[in-house]
Amino acid sequence: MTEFDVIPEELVNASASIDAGGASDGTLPAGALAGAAAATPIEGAWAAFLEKAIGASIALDQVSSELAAGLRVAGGNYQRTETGAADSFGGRR
Amino acid sequence: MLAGPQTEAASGNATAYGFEVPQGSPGELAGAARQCTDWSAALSQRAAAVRAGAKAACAGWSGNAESGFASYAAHVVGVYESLGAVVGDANTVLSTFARELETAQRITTQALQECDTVSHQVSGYQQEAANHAQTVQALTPQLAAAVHPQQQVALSRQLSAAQSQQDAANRAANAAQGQLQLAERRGRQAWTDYQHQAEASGRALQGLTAQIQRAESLPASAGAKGGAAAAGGAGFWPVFNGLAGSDATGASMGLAEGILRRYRNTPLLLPITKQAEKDLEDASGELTNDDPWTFSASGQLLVPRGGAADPLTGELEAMTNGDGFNTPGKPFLTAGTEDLSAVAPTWATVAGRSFAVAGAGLTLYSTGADQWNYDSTHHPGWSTAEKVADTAQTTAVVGGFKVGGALVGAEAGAEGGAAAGAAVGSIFPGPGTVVGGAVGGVAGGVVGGIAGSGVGQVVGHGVEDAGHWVAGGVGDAWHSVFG
Repeated sequence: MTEFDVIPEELVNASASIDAGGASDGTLPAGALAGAAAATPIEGAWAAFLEKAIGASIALDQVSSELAAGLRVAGGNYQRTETGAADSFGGRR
Repeated sequence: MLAGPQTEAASGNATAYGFEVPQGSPGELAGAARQCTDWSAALSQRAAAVRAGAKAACAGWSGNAESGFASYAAHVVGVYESLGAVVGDANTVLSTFARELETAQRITTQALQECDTVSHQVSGYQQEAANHAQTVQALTPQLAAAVHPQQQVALSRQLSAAQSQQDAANRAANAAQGQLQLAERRGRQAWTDYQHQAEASGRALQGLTAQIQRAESLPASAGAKGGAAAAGGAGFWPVFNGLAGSDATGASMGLAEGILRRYRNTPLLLPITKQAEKDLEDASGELTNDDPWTFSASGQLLVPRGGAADPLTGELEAMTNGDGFNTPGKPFLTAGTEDLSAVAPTWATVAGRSFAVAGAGLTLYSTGADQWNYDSTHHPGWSTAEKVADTAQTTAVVGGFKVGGALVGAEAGAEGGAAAGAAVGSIFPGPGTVVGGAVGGVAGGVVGGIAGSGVGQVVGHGVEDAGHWVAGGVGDAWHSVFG
């Protein structure tokens, strides 16, 4: 049975595509965003929105990075299996 | 006034005219709205990237694991898209509110200025009228007392003029008063409108907040939950279809296991140079030969593989007696930190010593060396310390559970149990019961129910990939098993 039949390079590319690389916390000026509604009636609602949205965004980046990491691990093990090296992970053609 | 738990009374600077000038920065709100646009676009791009990556990964991959992976990736994509849309809507809310705030501030500020100006005028006119009234009041008795006709005419003119000026001042005051009321009304209306607009914006934000979904964490078995459950509970990543010790697993066993299975009586040593590692790999084909028999050195007799008469046993002993191999737990000189085989065994030997079973140490070393190789290739920027840390974690989890999984498979009495038992015996020559009990306990305690879904290495990767909580647990698992 072909359980995993993608060449490692494709996995690495797929992994790179999926990997967020910390996009949310790296590009979002969360502090400035949080202060944007200061002294206005929507300050509380905006802060609650921002907290939840940023948290969700970071969580998304985290799980996608973990997905990518899983692909890298799988690709690495597959490669090792293909080359006949010591480890085997079950990635078989 | 605003309603709801996330809104509060509108903040403004109070005036004497029954309204307030709203506080806040429309510019910052507009800037935040623009950032939301960028943020929303980034989230949409992430959704597209994950979708494309998952599509590429699944292109030549089939089976339950692929289904689980694809399902979870679709979940992630969906949440990205949903969050992108919500953040995009927040941009609309913010930009609208920014304009409303700007308008309210402009109108109330203008109204305040006009109120102040007109109010001052009202006071001036009223004062002027009062002054004229005093003049009238003073002239009136004088006119009544005047007896000379010319004096009466003069006083009468003065009185008339004063009365006219008083009337004019009163009219001006009234007009100004009317202007003041209009300005006050504009200010109050703008303030009231702003409060309503702010209330609507606050509620809109609350609604958007309620729409925010949070991506489910990666399942504990990397796919055993959520979408993967629908796909049969398989993990995301490639899985063994057979149990530990089965033919399928045995066929894909690594070099270390091969040595253990065939040559467990050989003193197990760790390769500490690249050449030694290569020599060991070159021998791996013969080591993993499934034929239980081989020819003796004379070529005249069939002898058991791994036995004293097996020529390969002697060759391995001769090979491992050189400087390229090290007995686990013993110090050795390294060629340099750039040499993989010179660095990795520094922790692998610790594993071997702690295990008190050199074979298991070699199993761990095999796993760790591969991880070290992988990190060196795919993370060229990592420092030695980072690679050592990553390798140690992988070794503890993957290597540890690769061993532990065999025990789980054996203890479960699952299909192929006899073969699994044989595998356990080969992995744990000698004090297998003691070590096995410890490993099995950890496998049961840490991995829990997912242990039954696959054999150790898969379980180990599943745990490793499950999330950051593993990082803290690795040390505990490691120490509780390996000392």
